[in-house]
Amino acid sequence: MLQRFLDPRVLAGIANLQLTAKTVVDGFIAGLHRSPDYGFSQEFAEYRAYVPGDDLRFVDWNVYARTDRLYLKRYRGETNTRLTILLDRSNSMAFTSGGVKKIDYARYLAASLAYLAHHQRDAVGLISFDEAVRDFIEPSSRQGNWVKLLHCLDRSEPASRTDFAQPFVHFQQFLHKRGIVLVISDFFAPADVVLRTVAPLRQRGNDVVLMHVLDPGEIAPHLAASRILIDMETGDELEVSPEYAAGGYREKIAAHLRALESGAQGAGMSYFLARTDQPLDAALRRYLVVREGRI
Amino acid sequence: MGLLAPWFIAGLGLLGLPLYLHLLKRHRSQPQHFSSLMFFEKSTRANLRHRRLDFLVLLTARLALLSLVALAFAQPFLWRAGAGPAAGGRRMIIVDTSASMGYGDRISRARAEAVRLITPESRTAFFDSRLRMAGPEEIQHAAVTGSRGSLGELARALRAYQETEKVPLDVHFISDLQRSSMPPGFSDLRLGPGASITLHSVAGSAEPNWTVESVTAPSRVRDGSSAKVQAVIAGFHTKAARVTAVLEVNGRAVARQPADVPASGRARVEFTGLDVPYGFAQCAVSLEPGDALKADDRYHFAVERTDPLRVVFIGRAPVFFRDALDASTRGAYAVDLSGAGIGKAAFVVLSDQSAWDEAALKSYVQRGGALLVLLGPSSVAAGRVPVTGQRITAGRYASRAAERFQTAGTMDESYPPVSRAARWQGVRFFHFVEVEAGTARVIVRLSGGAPLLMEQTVGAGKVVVMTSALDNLASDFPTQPAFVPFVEQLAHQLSGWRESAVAVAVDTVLDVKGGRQTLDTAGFHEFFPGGGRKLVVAVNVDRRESDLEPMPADSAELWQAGPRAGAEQSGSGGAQQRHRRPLAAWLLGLALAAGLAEVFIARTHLNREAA
Repeated sequence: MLQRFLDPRVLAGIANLQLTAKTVVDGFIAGLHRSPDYGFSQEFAEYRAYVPGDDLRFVDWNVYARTDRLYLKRYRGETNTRLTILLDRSNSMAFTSGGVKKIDYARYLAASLAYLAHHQRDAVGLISFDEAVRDFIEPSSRQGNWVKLLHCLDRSEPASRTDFAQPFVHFQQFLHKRGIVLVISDFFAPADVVLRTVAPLRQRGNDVVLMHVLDPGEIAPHLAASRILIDMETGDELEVSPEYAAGGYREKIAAHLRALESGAQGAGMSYFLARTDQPLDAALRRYLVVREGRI
Repeated sequence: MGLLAPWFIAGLGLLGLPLYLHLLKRHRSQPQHFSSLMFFEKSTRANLRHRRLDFLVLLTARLALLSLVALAFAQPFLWRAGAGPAAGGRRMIIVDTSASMGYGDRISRARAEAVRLITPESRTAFFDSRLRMAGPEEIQHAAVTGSRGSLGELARALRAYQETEKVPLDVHFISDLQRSSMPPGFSDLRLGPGASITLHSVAGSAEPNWTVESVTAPSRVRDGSSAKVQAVIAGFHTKAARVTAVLEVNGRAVARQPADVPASGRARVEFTGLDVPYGFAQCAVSLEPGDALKADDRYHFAVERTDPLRVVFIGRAPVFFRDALDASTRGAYAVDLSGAGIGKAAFVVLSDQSAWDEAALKSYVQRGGALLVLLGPSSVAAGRVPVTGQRITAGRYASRAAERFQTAGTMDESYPPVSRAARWQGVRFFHFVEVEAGTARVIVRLSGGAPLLMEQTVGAGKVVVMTSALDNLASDFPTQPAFVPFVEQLAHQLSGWRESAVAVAVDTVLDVKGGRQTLDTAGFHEFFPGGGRKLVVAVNVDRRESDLEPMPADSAELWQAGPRAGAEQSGSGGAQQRHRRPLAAWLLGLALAAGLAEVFIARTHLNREAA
């Protein structure tokens, strides 16, 4: 059995992103066989009312003949979805307090999720952004697309600063079809701004998952003495005392996390905090939960 | 307001150190990149401002500490009007009569200045090496002594005088204020509370002066033709010149030697042959012609011419003892091997004998004679030590090859022949005679514990017993470096030889029969310490008086201003005066407070940093 809970620092030692993703996902799936809650079956799932834009191939014409209404027939195992990964590659994602960089962790996460989705024959796409959209890969379930996505992830190095508003306006153009939208970011912006920016994706029928990648040093920073901190995105400097880092800062970041989580739930989105010192399987599990809900 | 030591203000330059450390080298926080500063707010900056305030307070405390200490050392004072110490104190006129005051007309100028300063209420005194009270009329006849002036001693005498009289003093000191008279530490010049001193210098700049600094000559000669006299001619603040040194014997010039003395330097002259009559001769080396300070142009020394002392040697192996005695005392002793006439001998040596004239020896010793008994193999047969009668128990031999020899063990270091002979290190004894010490004083024991050297008083004389012979068979002592000084000192010990002609400086206290005597004038002094002996002491002016360089002006000013509370007043007492109120103590108190504050603030600051 492959290792299921590989430490992110171990993953960092695997230079090949494809191998990293397979290592994570294969180990993860192997563990899933013991779980009755998850799996891939061919059983009938549900009927869903047709809405304009749905593929007419999935319309159950027998039901239409009997009821004169259009319904889509969905099966669990055969149900495919579109997974679009929005990867934040701003400068702040390059932060690390000693372990894995957030951007690396995010790339492992994106690659693993992409591989998992590809494994289920879901269409997978990628949009990387900072203050503008940098890369865009149309969701597709073809083999070559996944490799292309991995190459794109490989190239995704942090640059510039984050501006949620600008790239998310563009997302509206790319995300014509509904599916799962995974936003992987450190969300260093006011919670209401983040939610206000991301919410339209949900309103278009997407299942939105906010993957909040944070370094443990960002959640609970420890300063031995006063330090001048330099903002990695703006370059601003600020001298910070150890007392504030241990007190006021932690309260504020905790409030920020709470605001994001509650706001996301309120907007029908899923929120997940991924710490860079924890294995990736929890994030994969969260994806499957969301996917299971999306038939 | 003024400063007594303004050069200490330069210490304020140290203020740059904390400024440099605080402002230029102050602690910079280590920059660290952080993903976002959006959760850091202005309250953090306020906290840092509070720290910077701490930092500035700490800097201020340190600057205050350093500046207060520097100011305190500069000895600031405030002028304050009021009655001076002389108003209710005692005015003292002190004239320096040390040897250097004999230069030119210094003493006459000092007398004139003293007369000018004398008031009906004032006390007058002389000072050379000690304070001597004198009447005003005596001041007018003040004469130079040969003593060495010591300003430290003057300050000590004034403090003692003030303690006794319980009055403030207004001292006027008339002197040439030699630099060589100053004590090593300036604090030794401090006066008592309420005392002030005003210095009246009668010296100009550093005057040139020649002197016969020292003379090296034998104190006792047997034949003066081979004796040598060496003299050092010194010049203080002089130009390079050729001077003539004259050797005098009993007031008559017997030789002259020129000497080329470099500028402010020294030169050595040597006279060969010292033709002096029997007995004591009063000799001197003088400069020709003399200079303005006559007292140091002449160096006295005494020489005694005597016949050699007779030593009667009876017995075996006299060669080692005789040669060592001749070498060390340069003919002061004559060894007589005939064995006759022991009654007139300085001491008698009985070496390894089995038979002797016991009655003659005992009579000689009991009358005050000295006997050295060297025990050897022949002595064992006699079974006892001559005169003392100590029992001889055995003779002991040790092989040279097997390292069974003995060495000197315990020693009585107070015995001069032993203490001045390097502890007989490395001397190996192969044969010695075991003797019961009895009541004798054991001076040296062998490493095995047996007595080696003993001394016993018999009647008015004494007997020294050595249980090993002084030859190269019984020991290797005669071939060791310690042998010659041992024989010399032992001979002096046995003969009662004392230095009869010595040279000392003026004011030397001599312990002679009848009590202590201070030699306060230069020249020759004769003493009779008893036992028919005569001691001639040549007394010379201390050559530190020869350097006429005056004390630095700032030192003089500091001495006048430092300890006293009042300012100079040249007129009679009772006038309104301005007093200096020293502030140094207050400043040091403030510096202490600043130091404590610095410690407290720094501790708080560092604790916060550590947290």
